[in-house]
Amino acid sequence: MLFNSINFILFFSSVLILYYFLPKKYTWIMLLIASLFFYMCWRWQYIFLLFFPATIDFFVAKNIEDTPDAKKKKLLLFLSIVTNLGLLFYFKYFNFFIGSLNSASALMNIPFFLNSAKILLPVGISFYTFQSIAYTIEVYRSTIKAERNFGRFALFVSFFPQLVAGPINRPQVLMPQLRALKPLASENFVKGGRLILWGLFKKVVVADRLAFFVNIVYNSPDSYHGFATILATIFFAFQIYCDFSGYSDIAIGVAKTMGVDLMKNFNKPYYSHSIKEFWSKWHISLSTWFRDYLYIPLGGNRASVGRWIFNLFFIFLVSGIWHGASFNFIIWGAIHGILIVLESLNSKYRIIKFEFPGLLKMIWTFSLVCFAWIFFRANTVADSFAIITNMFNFSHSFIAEIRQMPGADIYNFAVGIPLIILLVSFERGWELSIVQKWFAENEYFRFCCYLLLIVLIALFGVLVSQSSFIYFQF
Amino acid sequence: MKQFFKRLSLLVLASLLFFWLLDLGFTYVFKKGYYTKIQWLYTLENRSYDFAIHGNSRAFTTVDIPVIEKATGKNGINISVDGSSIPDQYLMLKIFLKNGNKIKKLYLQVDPFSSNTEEIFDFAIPKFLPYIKDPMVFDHFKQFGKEWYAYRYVPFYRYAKYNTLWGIHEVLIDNFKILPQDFDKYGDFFYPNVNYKGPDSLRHMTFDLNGKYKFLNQIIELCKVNNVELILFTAPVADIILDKGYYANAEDFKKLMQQKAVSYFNYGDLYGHDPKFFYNQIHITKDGAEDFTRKILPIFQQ
Repeated sequence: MLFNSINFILFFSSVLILYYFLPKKYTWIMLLIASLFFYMCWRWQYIFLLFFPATIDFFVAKNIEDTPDAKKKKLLLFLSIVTNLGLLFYFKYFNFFIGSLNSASALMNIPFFLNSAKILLPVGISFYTFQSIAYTIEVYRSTIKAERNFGRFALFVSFFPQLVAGPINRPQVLMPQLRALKPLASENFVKGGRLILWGLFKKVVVADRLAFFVNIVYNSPDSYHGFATILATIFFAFQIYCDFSGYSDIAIGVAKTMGVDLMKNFNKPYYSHSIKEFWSKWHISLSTWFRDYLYIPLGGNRASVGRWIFNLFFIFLVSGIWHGASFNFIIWGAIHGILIVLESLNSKYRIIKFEFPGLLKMIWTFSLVCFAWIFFRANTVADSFAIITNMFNFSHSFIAEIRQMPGADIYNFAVGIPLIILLVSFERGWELSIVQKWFAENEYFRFCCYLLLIVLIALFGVLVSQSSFIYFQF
Repeated sequence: MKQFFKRLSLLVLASLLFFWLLDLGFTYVFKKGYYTKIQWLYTLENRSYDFAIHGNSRAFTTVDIPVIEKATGKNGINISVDGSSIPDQYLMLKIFLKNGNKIKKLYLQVDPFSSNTEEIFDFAIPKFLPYIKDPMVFDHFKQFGKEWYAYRYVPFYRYAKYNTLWGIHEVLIDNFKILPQDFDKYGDFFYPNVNYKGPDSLRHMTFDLNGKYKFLNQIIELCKVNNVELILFTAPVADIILDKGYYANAEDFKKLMQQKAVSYFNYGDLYGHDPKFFYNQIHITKDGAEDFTRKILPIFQQ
């Protein structure tokens, strides 16, 4: 059930009606049932995969809290982490691992071959396992109390707005809110509705429209060169931003209408002046998860320079692997790792002694991020290199390459640039104090903004086939 | 909460009003356009033709009507719609006849690609959307799903749903006549003469002899009612597997049509695998159309 589908509108409306009319003490049960139903809409068998680690983490956390034995606490935490990561490894990486092993043995002429397993990746597994791990770690650190009610814990893991693609919420923030659910309030409806509308605009108008041209170029990388590949890569940068931040906005908005505040996941990342800043604004819930539960436990920057560099690089490599079982994601993570290491060394030792203007730094950072996106989007590593090679080949006519596309695709390409400009204008415009003042004080202005978004979604939204969100595959 | 719902209702109402106006504007512009074959066919009323060519793009691009007119003295029209499936073709013929147009003979291009499948295609649907309020169009399409009721009754929904294919760009094209009509006054369109290298692989082209042929049968019935002689033909294909199975299947299809008193001529294998006259696997070029038309002249002279 996709957020941008009629089914979800019907489902969510039913949840809100029940939320409104049910006595307060039963609302969490209704939300739990709704969340499980929401997840089972993909494949009912998935529910067992959700419950298995949840059950283990529930009992592990209780025992961690109850036992005074430090060694036992550690062992229990280890059990929780191994269960969650083991599940993640099997469903997400097992076939990749087998395939890599087979390729390596073939390369070395070793007569060794393992059959891959028939595995279907459960939606959202990377998100809910990480959320669950965060819970046991926090209980282990004694920053939160272990939940004693399994149903409430199951709701924390499965809360439908954030179940399939995050944001990965911290137990200390989400669990108290789910324990004390608030009654529906009009200001939450307005704030939530606004986020849902804005998220929909980003997803169906910008992301899905840009996807047409991106798919054409990236699915036949040998046919496009120079500006066409550069534009396709820039389009992809905005596509993935609008797709994922659009999803996050809808998720946060849906939760907000029920009075639950989810973690902010994006903060205009493409205006960053460095890769480090980019990662503080992109997929915030994941990057802070890695920071809190991996980078700092590894020693962070309070270690020798060599260890610090290793920690930095390792975090980004793991982040790449987290995104998917493919060498493309590993390379993507490694590129970011290298860039972060270089940047960090530069800021520590002041290798480059002069400051670039802010705009140049922003363009430079955006270019580096776009370069890494090539590996993220391309279908294979070979395709990534073909795109990079063709990107610097300006011997082909850009116009001729565009004109060979069918008429509707030319339109979808042509409308892409104005849509990016519109998105940037909306985001930058929203930062202006005068706009915020008008929005806060002038009801007609607000009304016109909402109406404009609705009309833009109808005029430019891609509705012909509901496309899935990119981050569902992770 | 009351205040919130009041404002929300206002927003919904304002949106509906806006969409209603947009719907009116889009429909008005599309209806006065002449860019697509359907728009063009809607403008034809009370005309008489000796023959008409009908079908999908393989009929749209295959027969050179002036060559036939010159050789036989008969006047003709090509009412084929590119990208259409047989249900669309049935509807177009029905509308064409309803508008007072008369034809003596209808040459309908059929092949397994278009006749075995009795579905409607997403890329062809938008061309009919401006005419959805025409009862003939709505009654035809509503059998393909409940969503057609939403297209018919929810303002602007149909244009919003298909805006990637039939969006603002089409409004601009139609309103300002930006692009020329891509077919001539006979309704013919020809692919340029290119150096097509031939197919990489060959495919079976087999009629489903147990198929329902619901819409083909409806076309046969419609022709009977309107005193139109129906002749079926298959245009040349470059990538078919020419074996016993192919010939037997074409022969069986011919017999099946004979039972319905309809003639069928198979030219699918006319050029074998010679790519000389082909634009791609299933479409011939301008020179190909001229050559093909000369070769099939006898069926127009009867």
